[in-house]
Amino acid sequence: MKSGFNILLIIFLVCILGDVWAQQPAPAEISAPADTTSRQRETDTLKQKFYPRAIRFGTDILALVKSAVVSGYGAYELNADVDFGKYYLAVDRGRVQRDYTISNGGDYHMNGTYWRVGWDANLLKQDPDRNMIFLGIRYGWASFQETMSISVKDQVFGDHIKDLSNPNVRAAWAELTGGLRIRMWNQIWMGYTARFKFAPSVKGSDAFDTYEIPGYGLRAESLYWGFNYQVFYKIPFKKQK
Amino acid sequence: MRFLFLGLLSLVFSSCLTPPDCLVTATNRLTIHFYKKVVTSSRVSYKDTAMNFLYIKVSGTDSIYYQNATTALVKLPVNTKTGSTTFTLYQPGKSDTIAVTYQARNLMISPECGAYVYYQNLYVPGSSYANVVIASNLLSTSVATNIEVRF
Repeated sequence: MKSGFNILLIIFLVCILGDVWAQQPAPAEISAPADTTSRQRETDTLKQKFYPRAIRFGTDILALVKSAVVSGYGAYELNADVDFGKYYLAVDRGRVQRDYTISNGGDYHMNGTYWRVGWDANLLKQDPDRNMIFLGIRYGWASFQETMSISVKDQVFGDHIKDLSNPNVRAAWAELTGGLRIRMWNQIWMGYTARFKFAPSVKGSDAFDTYEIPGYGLRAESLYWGFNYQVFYKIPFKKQK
Repeated sequence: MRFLFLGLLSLVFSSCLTPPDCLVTATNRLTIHFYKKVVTSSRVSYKDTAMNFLYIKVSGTDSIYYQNATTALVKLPVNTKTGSTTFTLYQPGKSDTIAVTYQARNLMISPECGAYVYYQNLYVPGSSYANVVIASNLLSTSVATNIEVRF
């Protein structure tokens, strides 16, 4: 399943690159006189003028659907990005609660919050709707608590239950992101964000090994894929200069 | 553009949360191997040697292990409720002790695979044997020897 997902992702990235290359102007267009179309002038404006044009607020639909469907799972994620032209400042904030029943006895509970901050670069140059195909980077961090009870089977010293708690765990990681933002209607945008997460670090898991990090995933995986399916509402700051 | 957006919807349903492999090697059994010193003209080596035990006692339990047994290797349980255990090995005419300490590492491999306690950082703070060597400080079903007793 994992390798299948990776193959799909490679196809996805190839599609993105192909799309981006297709948007590059032809050599003849590059050598065209300075008096070009208004669309090309818009491209230049995006590159040169770095100022906040609009803010988008959104949420991850997948987290909400999964919360409703999967037992023992509750999560939401709020997203915001600020349009600086070619670049977007992105901030995510989420909350995750997980409950697992362990097959050999006992249970695991985790809840906490996470943040991600980073930048996205829009690879599309000539789109009047300000659609995005983007690549970006994120720094993520989380603070959470987790409890676990383990059923210890011991014929010699007696079976017993170990109740364990990590009350104040902190974690951090990095991400490379890629995805789409498509204007669907008026100020409504929808999009995907694929996340390649790596370099997780955890502090404060003294009683037992952290199993899951909110916003990251399984602690045992040093490389991890994530996926968000998002809906945004855009609020322009003012008219384009 | 919208077709690309909708076409990629299938990716949403690809599972990313692949659980780790279910490979459980946790045990509270400690393996002690007995070796006898062999001196030849060119070098010194150690050869595993069977010992005659009347019985072996483990602190914290009244159970008796290896009663009237001859073996070069014993597997003994460490106390899962404490961080230390003492083994008393009775042989004809004498008895020896080995005290060990260890730390519990608690982890869940996955909800389906289960949660286990691994005992690690094995240390021998005291023994009546003159030469005790820790071969592996992790108690694991994949470890052949934890402690080597050389005499």
